[in-house]
Amino acid sequence: MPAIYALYVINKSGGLIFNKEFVTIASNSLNDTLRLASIWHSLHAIAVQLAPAPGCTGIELLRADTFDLHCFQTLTGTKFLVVAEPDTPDVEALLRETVYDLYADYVLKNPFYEVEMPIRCELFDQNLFNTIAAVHRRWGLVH
Amino acid sequence: METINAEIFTLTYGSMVRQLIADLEDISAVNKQLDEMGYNIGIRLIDEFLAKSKTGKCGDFRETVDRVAKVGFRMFLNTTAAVTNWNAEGTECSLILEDNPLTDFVELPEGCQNLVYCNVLCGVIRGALEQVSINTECSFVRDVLRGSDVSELRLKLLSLNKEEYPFKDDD
Amino acid sequence: MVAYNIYFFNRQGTCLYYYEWHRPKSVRQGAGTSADDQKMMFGLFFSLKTFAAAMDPRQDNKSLGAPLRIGEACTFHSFCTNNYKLHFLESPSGLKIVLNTGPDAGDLRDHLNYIYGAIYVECVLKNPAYTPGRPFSCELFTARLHHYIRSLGL
Repeated sequence: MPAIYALYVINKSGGLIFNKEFVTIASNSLNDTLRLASIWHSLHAIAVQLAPAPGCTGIELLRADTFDLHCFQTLTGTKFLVVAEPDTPDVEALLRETVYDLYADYVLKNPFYEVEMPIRCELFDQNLFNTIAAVHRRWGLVH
Repeated sequence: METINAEIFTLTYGSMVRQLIADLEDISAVNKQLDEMGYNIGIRLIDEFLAKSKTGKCGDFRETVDRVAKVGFRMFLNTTAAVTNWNAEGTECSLILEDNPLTDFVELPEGCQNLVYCNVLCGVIRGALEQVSINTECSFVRDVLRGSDVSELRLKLLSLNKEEYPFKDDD
Repeated sequence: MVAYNIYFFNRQGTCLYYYEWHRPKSVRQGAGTSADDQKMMFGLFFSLKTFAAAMDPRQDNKSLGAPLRIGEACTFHSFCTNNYKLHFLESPSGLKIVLNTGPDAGDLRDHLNYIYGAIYVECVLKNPAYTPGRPFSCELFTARLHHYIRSLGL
């Protein structure tokens, strides 16, 4: 059953600025999540360095036994990560269009939000939750 | 799978043991050498075993020993071992071998009563398990060649290793 | 579909075998030297394994950074970037195989298993001249590996 488990946003220096779970999963403490975000930031860069072909822009999809991790890096260096059920369809499009749009609207257009700082915007939270809930409903997953 | 005659295997092993006795003369040195040889076989054999039997992860030491006794012995010696005599913590057990292709037609002479003829098997098990991070001690407690009715291997779990990052993080 | 390169590592981090069929971005532009490249690759997948174990949505009581045993936790098997895909296989005996291909390659886990079982085990481990833990270069292994990779259309 396809499902989106969690979303994380990492700023261009590798710091975690947003994390949210949509389904109850076994998760890490906030400290560990912060470390994981920064580990991901480095691994993303190392993968580019080790690429056998030129023009690599970083890891887009990590496939593991029990989850898939999708990563969308914007041209400004911000990374959006989604942990989803393996083989969930359309996650890339969801990140690139829907979530990025919500970020551009409710976060960046909020005059009181400082760029690169942790995101604490109610509207972003709310709209994100609604979007993911709608997607899950389409897939038949009950919240 | 191509097969060869088991007797040539028995003869080859026998000839090797005899040569070791002739070269080393001291029976306990021969036993030690057989164990070393077994170890070298075991560290390679484990990959063959994993690849051919497509074994996944075992839940605990009991399952591991069962896998060795049933799948492993069948694959390489065409015989199975019975697993018995577990201690209370589940870290020690006995593998009983009723028939063993290595010892067909063998009789130990007078001067070799201390020879553990099949010590190579102990080394194989130790080497193979070490490669999957399980440290064990294995030895024969009963031997058909020395008067018992079955051969019994005592297998003891010493420790389990974790995967550590091998490089130092200073550079 | 193209195959770029393949690495075989043991659990001590020694690169036992490396071959590149096609590497448009040379090692010098990447890590610098071959040794650095291999060490970095080992570090990359080692950290990715730890990362995957920590991010596992099914497993409770995770402790980030604690040494793990192979097969104990969720592990990753591949990642894609925009221009290459890295496939990873780790056997319980500590042997790790990394294969880099073009980004459109499918799931090559079965093929990596074949390379492990039918090529590495047969040609290398059963070769009495091979010392486990040291880099190997065995003609039979190389021939079979190349033949197999070519037969996959890579």
